[in-house]
Amino acid sequence: MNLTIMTEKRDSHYFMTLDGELDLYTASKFQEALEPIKSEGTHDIKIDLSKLSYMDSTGLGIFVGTLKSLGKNNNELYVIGASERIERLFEITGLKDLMNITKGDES
Amino acid sequence: MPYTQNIYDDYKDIVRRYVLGQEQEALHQCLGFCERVIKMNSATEELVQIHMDVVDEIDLKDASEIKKSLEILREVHIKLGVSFKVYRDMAEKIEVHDKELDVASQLQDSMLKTTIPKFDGIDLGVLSVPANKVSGDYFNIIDHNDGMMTFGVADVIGKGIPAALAMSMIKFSMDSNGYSQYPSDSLRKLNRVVEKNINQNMFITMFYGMFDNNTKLLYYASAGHEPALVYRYETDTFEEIDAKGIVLGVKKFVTYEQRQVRMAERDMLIVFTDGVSELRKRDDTIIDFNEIKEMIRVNRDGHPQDIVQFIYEKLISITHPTKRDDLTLFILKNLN
Repeated sequence: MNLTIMTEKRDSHYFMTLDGELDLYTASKFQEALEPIKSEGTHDIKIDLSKLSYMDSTGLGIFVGTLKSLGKNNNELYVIGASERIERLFEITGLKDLMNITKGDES
Repeated sequence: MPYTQNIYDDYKDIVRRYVLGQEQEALHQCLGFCERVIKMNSATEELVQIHMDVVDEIDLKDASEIKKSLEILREVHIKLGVSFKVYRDMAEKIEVHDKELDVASQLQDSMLKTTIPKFDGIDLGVLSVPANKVSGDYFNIIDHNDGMMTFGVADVIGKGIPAALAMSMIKFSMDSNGYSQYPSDSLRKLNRVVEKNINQNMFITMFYGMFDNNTKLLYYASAGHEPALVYRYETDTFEEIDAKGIVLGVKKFVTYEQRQVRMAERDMLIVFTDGVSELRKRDDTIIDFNEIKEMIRVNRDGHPQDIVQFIYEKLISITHPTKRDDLTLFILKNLN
């Protein structure tokens, strides 16, 4: 299983769609896609996870790094459409309180 | 013909275009051709044979044509030489990386080894098995010699030496609590240390417990760790126990909720990492946690060390061969 990432620059934020599995093997791809946005440091990021079927703790680690990096510039991280299992990971780890999680397809 | 037809056709196309068609840019195709040769694991010595066969097939007889065709062979060998150097550099890097992992692995085996203390009235069972050389899981158990025992089960997200160093932070922080300290305070202190010293994408989940062997009260707090289980012997039921708290290393100032639960005779506390609860099976599905509960239930009269060993052997037999994670299981059984 692989991971396909689409990134789109919108007015106030970057919109990303993850399709596939985010784990030890695909995490670096996600990391590379985020790097230019993080170094720009001017935009919020909205990530659509509705097509993400699996995420492990390495994937969570990238969300943690992104949260820390966005926090430095007071930018926000939005997560949209995560499956129940993935949302549970954000819930258990307490990361849910640091990001904006919504159920809808896009906001 | 020992080489593949595709490789042969590609080479023939280059020779035709460059020698007969006088297309200078045909030489640019050599790089892509070499990449395909490497990808297909073809023996490079076969290239000379390919060259000779192609020269025969397209019937090059004129000395100047043959000489020109040799320019292609020379170009291919130069490109293959460059690719080989890249390959060799990469192999060297992997070797250095492997050595670093060996150092981290030795560090874990020596400095971070935990011996399981013996207590009157409690039996303990722990098993922690890394998926690779270096584990991301860590556990520590401390006997305070005052009827109190503290323990922690942690999962460090991040690998290699940084992960091993993060574990040493946990160990030294726990060991420095010379007297028994409540789990919520310990996690708060630990978070301060970890937050200052950890890489950006790293974090630690940890279940921190303190068992008072006199009152049989278990105090616990969690830094974003998987909820633990309490098995009630008398009713043959499981209770999920969890306390609110964020993972270590993400936020500077954090407080952790602390809860307590009383352990009755023969009740068990089961703490684990996501290598157990999120285990990927051979068919790539995730384990149904009821299967693990059942393994505990059928062994409820056994010693915790035998129970963790039993579960581990079962899990290993159903786990996906290439998607293994570090796996830790900790069971505390209250005997009276």
